Amino acid sequence: MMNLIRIEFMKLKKSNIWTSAVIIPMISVFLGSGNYYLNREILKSEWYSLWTQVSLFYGFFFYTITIAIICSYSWRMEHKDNNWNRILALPYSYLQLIISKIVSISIVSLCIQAIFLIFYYVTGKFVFGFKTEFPPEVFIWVGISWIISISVCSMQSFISMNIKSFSVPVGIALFLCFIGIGFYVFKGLGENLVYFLPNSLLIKGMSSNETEMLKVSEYIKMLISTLLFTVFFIYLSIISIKKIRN
Amino acid sequence: MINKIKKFSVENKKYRHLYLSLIFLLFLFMDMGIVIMTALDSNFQSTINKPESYSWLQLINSYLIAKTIFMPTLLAVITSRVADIENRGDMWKVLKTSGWTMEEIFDIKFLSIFLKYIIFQILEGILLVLVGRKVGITMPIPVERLTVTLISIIAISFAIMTIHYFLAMRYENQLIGLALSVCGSLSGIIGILLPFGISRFILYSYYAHLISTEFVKTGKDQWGLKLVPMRLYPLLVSALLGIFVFVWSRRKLKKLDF
Repeated sequence: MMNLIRIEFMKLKKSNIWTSAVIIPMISVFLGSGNYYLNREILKSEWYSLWTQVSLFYGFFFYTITIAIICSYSWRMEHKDNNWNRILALPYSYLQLIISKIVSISIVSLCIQAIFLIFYYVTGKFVFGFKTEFPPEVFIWVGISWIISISVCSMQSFISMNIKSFSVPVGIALFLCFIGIGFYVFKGLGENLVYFLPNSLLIKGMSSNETEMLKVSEYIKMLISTLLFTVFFIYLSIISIKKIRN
Repeated sequence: MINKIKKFSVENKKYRHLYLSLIFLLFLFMDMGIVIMTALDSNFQSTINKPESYSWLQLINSYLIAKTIFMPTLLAVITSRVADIENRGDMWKVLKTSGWTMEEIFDIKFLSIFLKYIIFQILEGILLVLVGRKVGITMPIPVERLTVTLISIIAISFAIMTIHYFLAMRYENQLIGLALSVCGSLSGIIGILLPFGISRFILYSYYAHLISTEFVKTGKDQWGLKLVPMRLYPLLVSALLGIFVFVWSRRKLKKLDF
């Protein structure tokens, strides 16, 4: 298993995904900080206000889209030059193959979150010179959204595995982000609707709109949903591989 | 000429299995979703037919914000899709040995997707008007502003499309174009927040430059909308830039051996 993950990283090593992994969170923080700077008169809660600004577009769109791009890239290599035949000939189970992909993508996703957190800290501490202490909740928001991102990874991995095109899964990811925002914003349709799509879960987990800590029960529901989505998409992926083999 | 038309129809046949219509439909759903969200907003509904609320322009503005966020990705996706079908199985060589020159490939592929995009854009314009009427705007449609806005959107998309088209054709790794589109969307949103003097240099924020109203303070904690003159530079700059990139990349790709 560790071998497979190592191989996945070897494949990703020479790609440009690491550039995207740095640039996209950086631009997100830059964008949010600019908005915070322009609205300092209204946004008075220093770190919390900055968080609402930097995580808004990042949580709504760009984190998911970056994951989608990485998934597409990761599966593109298997779609090229009949690599599927080579993959299926490896002495590993389908479950191991799928999990190694998801784990490697999730590790890259963790790096993206870490880079985002570092940029957020540097901006707050050194650019705006906040006097208040760094809020510990941010670690929970970053951590929980990373855990939720694993379900996004498994979903996007399943989509990219089944669609040979590099770009279409990214377009679908953007569409799902839009649906996710709908689930999150229109609470009139049902408070629990947010738990029915990984994208809306991610938005909720990032807490871009509500800087108060969520209830423990809500975090538990999020984690259960994440687990169910991850298992569900891994199961679908295995079925797809079997179809490909046949 | 007949030869070119035949090649054009061959190219279009290749796109049948690319699900381009489905991709356009997804993005149309998202753009119109944003417009409908604005139209159903209670603040918008409460002032819907007051002349000072510029209801039509508010709808157009929300549409332009949707364009800033979604359009770069759509353009990157479709350009990547049409270039990538030739990468599989190295169809470039097949094309070249079938009597296609590199310029023809470049022109015909671009024309095929650009025409499809124009149809999509016109359809969105019609839907925008239908949504406005359906939600109860009885005021006359600002035809001139709407037409200039739609033409400008097409020109901006043309310029962005030429950039992504070049990247998709030049680099087999489609990650480059897609990643640029995400950065483009982000820079477009940044452009909305920056002063116009700076954001004029960000092509991706030009959709937002077409916004035709701005907020003005009318009293303590009271804000009103003010009409701003139509901005024509997004149309002119994008058209010129698009033509330049198109000609330049056509020449550049001609020299490359696929």
